[in-house]
Amino acid sequence: MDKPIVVGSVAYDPKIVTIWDIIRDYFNDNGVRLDYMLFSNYEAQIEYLLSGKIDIAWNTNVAWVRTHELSKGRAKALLMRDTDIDFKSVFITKASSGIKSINDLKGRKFALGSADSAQAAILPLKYLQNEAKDFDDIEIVRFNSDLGKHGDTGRSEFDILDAILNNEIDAGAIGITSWVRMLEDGMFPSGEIESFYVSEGYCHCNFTVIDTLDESIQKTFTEMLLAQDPNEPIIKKMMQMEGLNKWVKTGQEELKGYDVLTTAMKEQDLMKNNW
Amino acid sequence: MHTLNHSISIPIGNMPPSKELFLKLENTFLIANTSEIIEIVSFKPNIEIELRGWAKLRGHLYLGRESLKEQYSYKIQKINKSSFANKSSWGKKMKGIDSSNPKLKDLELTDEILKKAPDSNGLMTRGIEPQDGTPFYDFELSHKEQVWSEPVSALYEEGKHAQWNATSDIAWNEIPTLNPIIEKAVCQIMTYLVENEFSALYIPGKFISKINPYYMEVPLFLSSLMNDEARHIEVFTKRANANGGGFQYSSEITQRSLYSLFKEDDYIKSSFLLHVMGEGTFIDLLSFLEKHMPDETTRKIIKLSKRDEIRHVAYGMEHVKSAIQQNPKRINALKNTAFRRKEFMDEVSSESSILLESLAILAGGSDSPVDYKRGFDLVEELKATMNTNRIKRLIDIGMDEELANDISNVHTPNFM
Repeated sequence: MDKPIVVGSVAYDPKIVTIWDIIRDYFNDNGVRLDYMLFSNYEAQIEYLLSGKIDIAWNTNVAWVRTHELSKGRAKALLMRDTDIDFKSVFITKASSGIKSINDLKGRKFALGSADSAQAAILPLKYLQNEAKDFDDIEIVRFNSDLGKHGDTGRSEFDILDAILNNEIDAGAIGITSWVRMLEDGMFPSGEIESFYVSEGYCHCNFTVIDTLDESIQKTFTEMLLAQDPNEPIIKKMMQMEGLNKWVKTGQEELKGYDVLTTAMKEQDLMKNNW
Repeated sequence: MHTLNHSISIPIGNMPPSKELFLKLENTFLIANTSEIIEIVSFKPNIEIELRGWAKLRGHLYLGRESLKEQYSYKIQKINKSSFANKSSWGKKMKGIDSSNPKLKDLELTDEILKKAPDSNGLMTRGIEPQDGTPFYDFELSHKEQVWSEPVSALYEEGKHAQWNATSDIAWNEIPTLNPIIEKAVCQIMTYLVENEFSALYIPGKFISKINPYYMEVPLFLSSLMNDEARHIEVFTKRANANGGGFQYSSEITQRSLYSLFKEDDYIKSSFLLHVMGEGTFIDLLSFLEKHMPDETTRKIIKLSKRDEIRHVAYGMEHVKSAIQQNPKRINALKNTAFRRKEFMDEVSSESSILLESLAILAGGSDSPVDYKRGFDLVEELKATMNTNRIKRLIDIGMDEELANDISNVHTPNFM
């Protein structure tokens, strides 16, 4: 029997097991052997991918950029969620804070999330440096939680929300997805917190391989995922849990969505993979 | 963007991006058709970040913002497949509302009642639109012919009309002191009735959760039937304990007979055995008891119970009759069921001697040899009447006379 395609995924939440069991069953039921390996952090997963112990890694944008760099450009992004494209960071504050733009942050406490989260820390810092006239007068506060998960858990973003609500800080950076979820879940009285800045769009996760992986495996994996029917109840459930409406191929246009992060990670000395 | 026509417009006034706003959007998009453009009209100029982010997350397409007079129009296009196969109905007013007498039969939930319930029909009924991805319950009884009985709606209404209360509708304090021999016979008969009523309560109970609620009239009727049986258990229990006696004995033959009924797992066969054969025969028994009960109160108990049972038999008759009409081969299956039950019953001695003696004493009026003999003959007559009426019912549901005779002859000596 053929060796199964082995996909790595970081277990940032118990639901990851359910998600990957569904994906594994889907492949196996359709005649393609697939298995998954769970990691407790992205650094270990990157290590395993680079050393060929897994075939494919379900990577965050930070893990992708690092893999690409450490593999000397031999990493290849196969596909991603529709929601990974045009991802954004937003800056939020209390409606009563008087902060209406980045330039109102002078002399204020501004929070960044986990140091390894693109949406809550790395890119917001970059945008702030680019756009704030008085960057040096902004007091940066960091909420480093769940390091190694690259912001997947969203915990640091919720910590930022709490700190704003408790008046411990004036404003903070979070991902657009977390922001919409906070609003949808009614995590504060309507209108009490507002967004005052939204970044340009960038790309989030992707399925990463090293180009030494058999082309036919890459092709099969990509085609199988693209063929998933979002109306199939079990697939629908998986997609809801994984936060996508459909899978899309990572093309040249999408790859450009990682440029700003690559620059930021180089500037912030985040390319080393310290496992 | 100016040229994009929207078909739905949601005014949200000053509502900030919030749980209540997204709830509204969620539902609007849920029901909208694929490609439909939805306009959100707000006083707020700056909710674009949130609307765009929400649309992205849901797989919709944010189209942009346009300034209106003192308001802003944000447009989002639904991209995903619609979550509902059909739009829900609207503008309905059922018959009977104006005269304040809307009956179950007046419901026109859908144009037709399908022969097979849709797979997506879970705990809901005709006319309710299920959302995509709704779980499939796989109800065992999802075909109309398996469960439907034409008069079920009318019987349900009749059942509600004929409800009575086993506490307050019976003149309990008017039961006279009876000769202990007679009282004991009454108590034994009540004991037997309670056992049989339990089977009539539990057997529909076994099937009700297997019936697809697409055919909602059937579970509704069966629950009223079960309520009837519960009341019968209550009233017979009370009568057994009302007059210085109490519960008596359960015979093996009675339990064995009820067990063979209880074990039947096919709804049509079960309906045949319980309602047509069992309860049908019971009507004759209850008529006999009504005639011979020595006091007015006990007669009334029997009379009211019999009225309920007649309704149950009517359901079963039409149910089995239409099942046979749909598939005449069923007759053979029903015959085999009756014969298999007989084989099972034949493993032990035939009749419930305890019950039959009590019936004879009741009918004869005492246990003196003369009265007892007269009563015994009356019981034999009853059995003959039961047989005749059973044959009539079997012919009525679609069997030929010879087969009806054969099947009636092998019916359980326990009556039920």
